[in-house]
Amino acid sequence: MDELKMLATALGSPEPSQEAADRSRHRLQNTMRGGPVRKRRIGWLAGGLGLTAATAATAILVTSTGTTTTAHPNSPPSTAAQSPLSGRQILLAAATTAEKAPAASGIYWHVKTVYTKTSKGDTDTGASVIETWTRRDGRSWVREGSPTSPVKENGGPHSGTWNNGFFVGTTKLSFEQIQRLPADPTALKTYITRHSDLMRLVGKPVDKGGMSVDEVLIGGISSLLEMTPAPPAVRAAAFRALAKLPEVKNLGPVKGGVGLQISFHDGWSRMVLDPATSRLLNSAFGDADHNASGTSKVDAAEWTNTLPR
Amino acid sequence: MTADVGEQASDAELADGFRRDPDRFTAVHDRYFRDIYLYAAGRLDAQTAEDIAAETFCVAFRDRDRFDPRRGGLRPWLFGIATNLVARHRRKEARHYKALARTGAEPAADSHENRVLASVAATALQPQLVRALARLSQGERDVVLLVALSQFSYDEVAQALGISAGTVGSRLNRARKKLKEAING
Repeated sequence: MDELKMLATALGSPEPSQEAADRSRHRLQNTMRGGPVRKRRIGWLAGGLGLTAATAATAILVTSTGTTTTAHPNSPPSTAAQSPLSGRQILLAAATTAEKAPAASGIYWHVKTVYTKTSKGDTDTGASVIETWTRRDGRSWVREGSPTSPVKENGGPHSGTWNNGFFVGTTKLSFEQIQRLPADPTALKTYITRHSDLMRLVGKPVDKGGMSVDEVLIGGISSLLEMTPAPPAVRAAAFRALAKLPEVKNLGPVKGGVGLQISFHDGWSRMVLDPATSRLLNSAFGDADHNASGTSKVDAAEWTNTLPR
Repeated sequence: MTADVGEQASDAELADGFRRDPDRFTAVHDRYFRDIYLYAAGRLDAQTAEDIAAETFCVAFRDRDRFDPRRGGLRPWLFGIATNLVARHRRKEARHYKALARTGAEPAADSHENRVLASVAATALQPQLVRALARLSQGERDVVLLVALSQFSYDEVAQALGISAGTVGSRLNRARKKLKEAING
């Protein structure tokens, strides 16, 4: 027997577990969906969310300033009456709205997401629609594509293939963990960054997948706000944590709400916030050169009592 | 493990698939996760190996436009990425071999008689062998382990590491000589 065979035997490792393979596949899928890991990021406004009439912005002016600048939705945008709110003010107002929202409940946490890829160099694969229904015990079901597609089980409690709304960034949490997330913005930031496996990329060069802490945080918080069944106080803390970031810009009214851009060292995240409900409807990441990559649009994130068959 | 169902698509078909539709990149994962994991787990602890295996596919996906089927198969390309990721853990890799040399590794669970015999022989000589492995240069070790752990041909090693087949040959010869000396000496 030669030394190479002996080495193979000496170093031989047991087969990887199914769980390890599932975790790995999942991480890949998060990357493929243009999560914050991906560096060739997404052209978000390219997806068709152009500027529209200044309707939704009205609501936020009322809630956040307490003034009565209730422009009629059909009236032309007011010019001199008030200066636009800063991105930070919008986030703080959303925190207040989120805090007051009644806690909802149901059997299945239903999330419907439309992913669009428009990356440079990719063939445009159009939109893909993923719906998941997740119980409190973590068991989940998934439907890909049209509403007539079959609803299939989404792996076991710990090995779902599709993001079932229980992810904060790339970290999968249980229902109980989501309920117990800190309701304080600083503690929430610490929790998210401490649990994120993306933190190992912090400090690495950008072309090696390097990220900043802010980018890890923004990825975690946007998924928390978009997709998880987090309680009102946690959602409020999440908005306040975003408001603490150095560069938050109000992009003005867009379809469905108001556009926000949060910048970090080599890129940005853009999101659409519905100020009336404090829901995040859409988010995307882009690099410093505004390179396009795709969007994720959350059409539903709500409790329901029925699982379609 | 994710089972391969039905007949296997060739690497070229897999590559063609993810070029048309990036979503099909998961098929690459399902085909190669096990192999990449076992390679990494030969060089590092299980947890780091899992991390490296997972990261390999994320990096590969991000760099998929750079994959050129004319320059080699998916397998060497993926192992090249994995080898680069292993290289970030030099100290950990050295500790892994040190620990193996000290305690003796558990032989891989396999009931084939020759494997059992092999593992007896290997277990006796293992400390010397693993120590010698740790003393090889990084380049020699990459070549040796791609061949020993993953049964790579010279051409595949050359593709994976981006070196010439001649360099593969000379590195392998040098490394084998050192390993032989360690177990015979």
